[in-house]
Amino acid sequence: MKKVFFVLILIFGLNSAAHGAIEISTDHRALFFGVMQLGEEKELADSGTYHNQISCSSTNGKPWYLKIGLLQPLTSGSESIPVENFKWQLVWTDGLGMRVSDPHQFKEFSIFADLVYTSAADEASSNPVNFQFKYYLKIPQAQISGVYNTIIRFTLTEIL
Amino acid sequence: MKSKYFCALLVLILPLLFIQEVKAFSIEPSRIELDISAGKQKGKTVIIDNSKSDEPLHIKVYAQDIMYLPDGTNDFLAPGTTEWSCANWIKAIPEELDIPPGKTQAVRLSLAVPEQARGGYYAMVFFESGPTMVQGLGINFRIGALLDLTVSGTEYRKAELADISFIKPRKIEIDIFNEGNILMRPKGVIKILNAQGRKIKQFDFNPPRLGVLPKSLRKFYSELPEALAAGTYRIKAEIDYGTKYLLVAELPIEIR
Repeated sequence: MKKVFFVLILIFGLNSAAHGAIEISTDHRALFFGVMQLGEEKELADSGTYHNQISCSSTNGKPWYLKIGLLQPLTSGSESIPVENFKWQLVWTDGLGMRVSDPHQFKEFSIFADLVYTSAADEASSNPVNFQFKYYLKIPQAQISGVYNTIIRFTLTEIL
Repeated sequence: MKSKYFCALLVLILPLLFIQEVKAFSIEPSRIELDISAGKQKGKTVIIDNSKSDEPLHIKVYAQDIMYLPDGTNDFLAPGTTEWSCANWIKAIPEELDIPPGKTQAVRLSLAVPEQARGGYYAMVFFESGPTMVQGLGINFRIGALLDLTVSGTEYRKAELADISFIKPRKIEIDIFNEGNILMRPKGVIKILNAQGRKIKQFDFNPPRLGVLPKSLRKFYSELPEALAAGTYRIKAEIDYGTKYLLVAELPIEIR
């Protein structure tokens, strides 16, 4: 009876491991545009070519994807900056999969998440794939002064 | 409020307080497969690992509905929106948790299946970091784990190979419609036959085992390992969708 019990545990353990883990990490540099004037444009790239780095890895053997989106437009009280004035750019990745955006162009944020990257078939064996982003903001000429906030959300999940 | 000369806008996305924070977390498993009888309840534990971070991690656990987008990724909808949703049946314990740096913590996902449930049901369970600060807003990360529920003994598999086409120079598109009531992950082979009907190439169809939701069509793209020389060929797809029958389709092509 003891033997049977041991075998069952072993099978369960193998089954769990087969599903693997999925991980996301960042250097988490602050996104701070500081004080800007009406009509001003600013790029945020404090590391020279990029601003922050996101890393994704998976050990489950399944392809995965990374999306980026805003939870809401930049908002201060009842005022908001049009979402198309805030942009992101994936300037570099060491991934071999499919990057969606042009590395030389900013892309407007959306409150619906935009696809950043879909992994290659062999990028699910624990080696991290790194992504370097920079950001751009233009303040409209008629914008009301205030402290504007938002949340950028990165979503990582395996492809169904 | 609007100043003609100098109207400063302080655009704050993340407070400077958090500049040095390194954030990383993982979940395991990344896919949760459950087989539960109608009217029964079962659970699964997911481990959240904060061992690589140097800050505490606040995680919120919630489930959303899942649907396909044309780019092969998914959209996530409010629980109960899709006909294959089990998002409202999921209870996460705890729903929110704080994990110290260097630690892991478990979340129990419990799923109660209604008596009338039949076939497969799906949801994406998200583990989302944040809030990251006392004031202002910042970056949130969320990892989604697919919850794949089969109601024991009620599954019904049926599929149709809806279309096969060749996109020059090397791409093959195969569309599969899932007529059954559970998610299927078709696999198989694609053969290239020459004018005499002899197989000259063969490669796997859907090696990552991507799925097709019930009552949904998915387009699968495969690429020939190398371009074909000029001539007449047939592309033959043999696809196993989990029954004793194969889906088979042939497409004649001409390369000039």
